[in-house]
Amino acid sequence: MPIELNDIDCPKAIRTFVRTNGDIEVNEYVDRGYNGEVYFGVRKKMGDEVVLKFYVASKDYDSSEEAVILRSIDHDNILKIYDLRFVPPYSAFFLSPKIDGGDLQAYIESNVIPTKIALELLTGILKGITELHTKHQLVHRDLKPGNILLDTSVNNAIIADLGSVKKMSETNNYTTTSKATRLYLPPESIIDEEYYFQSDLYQIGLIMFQLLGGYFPLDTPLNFLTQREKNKLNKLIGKPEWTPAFDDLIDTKIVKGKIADTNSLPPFLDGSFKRVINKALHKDYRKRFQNPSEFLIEIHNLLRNHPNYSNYEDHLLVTHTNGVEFKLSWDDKEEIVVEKRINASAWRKQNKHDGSFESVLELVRM
Amino acid sequence: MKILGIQLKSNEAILVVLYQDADGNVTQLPESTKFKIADPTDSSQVRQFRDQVNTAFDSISPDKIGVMARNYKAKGTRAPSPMSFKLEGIIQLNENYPISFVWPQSIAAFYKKNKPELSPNKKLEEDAFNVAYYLIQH
Repeated sequence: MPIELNDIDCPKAIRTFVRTNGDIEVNEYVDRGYNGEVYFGVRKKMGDEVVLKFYVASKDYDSSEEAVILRSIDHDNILKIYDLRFVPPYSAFFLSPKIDGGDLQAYIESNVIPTKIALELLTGILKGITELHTKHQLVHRDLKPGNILLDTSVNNAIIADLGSVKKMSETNNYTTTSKATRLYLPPESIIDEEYYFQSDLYQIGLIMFQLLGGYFPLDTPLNFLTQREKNKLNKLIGKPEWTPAFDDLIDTKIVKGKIADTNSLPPFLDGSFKRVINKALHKDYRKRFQNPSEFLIEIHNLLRNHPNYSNYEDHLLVTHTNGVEFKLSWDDKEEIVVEKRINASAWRKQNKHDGSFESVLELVRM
Repeated sequence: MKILGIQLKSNEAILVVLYQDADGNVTQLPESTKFKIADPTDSSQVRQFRDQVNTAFDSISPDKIGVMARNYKAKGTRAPSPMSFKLEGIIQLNENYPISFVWPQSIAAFYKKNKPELSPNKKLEEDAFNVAYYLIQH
């Protein structure tokens, strides 16, 4: 009995294609909205699980320069494209392996991410983007946690959703902006609809901000606004001007470099984390990291010079590479309790602090 | 043409990038940088160094890469740091770019006859600069 895919809202050409192609047994459909139509299945001959992702595409997209390059890329941090084909009248699909860990957005929403893991994931993203930028002169144009997949077996980040990838012009050092998620658009895309290599690094800066626990209310974007801005917007409820007015407020924040406030990062992260993020997110693309290599060195410096922080609901765990661990929690009187252990021995209370969070941080950072 | 010169000293690799335009003018690019392994017993730092070198090479995309050669047979106080050989080995493992070695004597002989048109931005990157400048002319 054929599997019911519940894909009635999907364009007919795509529905017909997935049911009539002879190579892949399609067994699940997911509507990703503006992010395209996604089908999961199994390749009949190979027996492996695959994903077919459909995008809106212009005619003959599969023979475009970008498509030819994408098929040839073989890198640990970029989703392998097994096949890329145009499906008339206006779609193209990317056939790629199914990655078990899902995307980084879901991972951020459902897990405590230790800083060490966050920084290691960023190194993977930066290695992947190096491949796109320098070997192939491609910009991704839609980097965000939802477009990064996670291979949980090795904690590896894989850049996916390559439908917005664009070859950089040889005459200009920028290309046009894609219709990427508005909140992730860099200032230059809002102002001039231009997109540079450094624009991808801006988007990686936003991913870093989210991974480290910065405030980025993706699901409730109204919360990006101040109360005053919300009040202004409330006057337009029910009117067609509401959406453009909201977009304008968000655009203004992006252009002013205020979409991600590094003061919202967890207080245990010191200024060096903020400096790296602020550099990546600089509103002037010429003042950001100029290439992934510069960004990577700073990520490695953070990994080397800081302990690993795991911020659980009821305690903060600070782990050093020499086996020393500190546990911070708060007692009934809201006073900080610090415990220490070495190489997983029993926890012992530490009192070498004056009770302030600053002095505790000084103690646990060693 | 872009040339990447590298000097290795102790636990640090310093990279200098020189660019020669179509008219033969040479400039030092701001991509010049340095990497190090602070703790050679920490495997993650060794891998980080490898990744930094590889991404830097890819980001710079040089036409030539040269490393200042050191006399591995020298003994006593003249012996190069063993750490620098570790760095050198990691750099040589890069498969995407040919890497040549330039001896200080070759550079000295070249400079006797060719006075350089510019000097390094920083004194401490002089060896890497000299390697790159030598290779731009060879």
